[in-house]
Amino acid sequence: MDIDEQRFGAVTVLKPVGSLALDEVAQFKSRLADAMVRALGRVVVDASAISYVDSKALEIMVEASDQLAQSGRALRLCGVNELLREVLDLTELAERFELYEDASAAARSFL
Amino acid sequence: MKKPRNDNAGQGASSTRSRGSLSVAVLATGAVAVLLAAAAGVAWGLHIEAESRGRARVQEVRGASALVATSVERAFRWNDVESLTDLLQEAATQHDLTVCRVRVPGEKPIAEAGSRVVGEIPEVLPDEVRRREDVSSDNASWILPVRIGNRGEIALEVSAAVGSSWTPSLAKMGLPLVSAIGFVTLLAGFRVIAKRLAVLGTIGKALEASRLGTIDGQPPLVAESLGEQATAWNVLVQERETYKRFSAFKEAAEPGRGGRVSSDLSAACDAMTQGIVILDEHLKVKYANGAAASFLGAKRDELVGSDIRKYVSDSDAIAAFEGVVSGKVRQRVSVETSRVGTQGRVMEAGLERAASVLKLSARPVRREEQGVVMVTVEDVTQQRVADEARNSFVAQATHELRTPLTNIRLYTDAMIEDSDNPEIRTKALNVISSESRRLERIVADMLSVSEIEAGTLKIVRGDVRLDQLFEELKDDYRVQAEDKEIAMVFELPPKLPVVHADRDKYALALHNLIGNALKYTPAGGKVTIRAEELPGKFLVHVIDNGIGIKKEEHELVFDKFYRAKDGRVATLTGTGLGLTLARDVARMHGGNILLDSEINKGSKFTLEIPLAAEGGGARAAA
Repeated sequence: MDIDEQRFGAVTVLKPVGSLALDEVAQFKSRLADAMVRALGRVVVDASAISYVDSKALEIMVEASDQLAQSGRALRLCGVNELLREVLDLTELAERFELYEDASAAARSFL
Repeated sequence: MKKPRNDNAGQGASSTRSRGSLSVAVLATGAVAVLLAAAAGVAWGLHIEAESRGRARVQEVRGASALVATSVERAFRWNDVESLTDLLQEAATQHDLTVCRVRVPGEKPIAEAGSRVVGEIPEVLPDEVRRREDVSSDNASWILPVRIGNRGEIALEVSAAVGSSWTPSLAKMGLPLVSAIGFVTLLAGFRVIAKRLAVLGTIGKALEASRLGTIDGQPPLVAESLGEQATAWNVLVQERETYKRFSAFKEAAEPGRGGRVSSDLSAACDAMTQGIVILDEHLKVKYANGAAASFLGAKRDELVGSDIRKYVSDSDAIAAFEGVVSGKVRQRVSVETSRVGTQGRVMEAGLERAASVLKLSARPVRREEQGVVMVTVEDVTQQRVADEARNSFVAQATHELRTPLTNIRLYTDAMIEDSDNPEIRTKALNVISSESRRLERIVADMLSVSEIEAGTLKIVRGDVRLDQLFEELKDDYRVQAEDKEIAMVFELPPKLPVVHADRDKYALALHNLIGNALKYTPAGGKVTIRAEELPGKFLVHVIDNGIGIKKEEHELVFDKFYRAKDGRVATLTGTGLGLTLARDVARMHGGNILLDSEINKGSKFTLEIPLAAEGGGARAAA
């Protein structure tokens, strides 16, 4: 799995490509934590290229969102595909995140 | 509700009094117990004494009887019968005998105390009279033989009361009396104590309920007739109620202090994306919400109570806080800074924080009072980045538009001056045409960028015949390549797919890639456009052997308005928008643009066009 990192101005967009499960989760966790510290929480996870997520990966995203919630924010996800949306709905986690259509829309929300 | 007694002296006195009555009750009970014990002792003593007196009396009467028997025998010997009656009478009186007589057993008495009659001694007397002694609890009687010469024996009968009849009856009467008095006293004492216990029980229950928190409303009042403790308790309860009402009133009058309102307020502050810090007169943090802690890079409990200067190192910001604290500044002061956060923590995490711009605004919490400062913290990084981009966009756009416009104006002027020369005329028209196309593209780029910025750039998908698209590109750039003496080569597979995409957007992206390749490749260079189809995607490589891009700038060249820090680039015109646009277009289609480049060797940009799942869809002949 690759994690593509894009910058939209001062916003960091992380785009994991492929399956986000098992051993790859640790890499995602550290990249997400780095980005959160570096960009003061101006982070978006672009989920458009995620083909599969496991519970561990979801947990990491929820943790990140909870951390942001301490400062009144939430983790922003964009490009949430059918699969991930279904997972989020089933686990009732959708409301823990802010969802945007694409990365630029998510980045604009920081303005 | 009974009127509470409020004077303390009265309460003091009443408590003393009640303690007195309690000890009286205890003393009374004790006295009753002692009395009962004494009574029992006396009764027992009396009983013992009566018994021993009885025994002594029996001894006395026995002795007296023996003496009387001897005297009677002597009287009969000396035939002094007359004195016999006196003797018996005297003995009876002296020893308190009930019976004292002499007779032959079963016959009439010969002589008897209390009777002056002396009977005759019968002729025939029994040879022997049996000695007898009968002692019962209250009576004793003796029969003693008295020898009358040789004639025989007669009997002396003596009987006396030995028990003291008054003692047991006194005991019988006295004990119940004493018991009755004791019982009554005990009953009275118990009633007094039971009253006190009832009060204590009620108070105890109320206290227990209050400890467990199950008390709702007011604790129970106690009937004041139960005594001073009850009154004191009631006063306490009523004072508590008054205090509760008063504090509820205070809460209502000052929303934001105490109770649920305050916890709502604090939760609301934590839900804010703006940081709020309240500082005291020594610039120590009194309150910080969650966002403030996150912006200042501190844990919240560390932050509260510590000096704000530990977290904000910007001198302008500190000066602003000090100005507000000292009361010199009454208005809001705002400072934008990127110098915040604890350096130690960042070092520890091994991370360098990207420059974030925080806007700190300070103002006094109350205008009329100095000392307490409210600081709001906002993350304005993205706004500043956007501002900067806008400014640079305007500058770049002006510059970009001016160059073709200048060319158009110059060639138009030349045509006006020398309108008859067909050579000049043709050249001028060509230049005007190409410059106006360039203007058109610049305007299109700008529009697209602003559409992307505004989020209104939409992809309108249709069938795109890639073969046609490449033909158009060949035509568009042939002249330019020839002018610059650059060999432009198209290496395309014989069959190109038809993709479902936005034709204009892909054309824009490829124009930018090919245009850049021609622009940044010096004369005599080569630009190759190579296409290949892989499973699921179609790749277009635009390869040049131009100036190349440094490794560290590979990602940056895709940023809006970024232009490589290379002297050779600066001499060429460009908006810095082309690659941004091209990559946005690729990504909007679900693809991407990848870069492989080495400085001074050339660059290879690869446009990934995703194909539909069935593997490319319809084919078109090349």
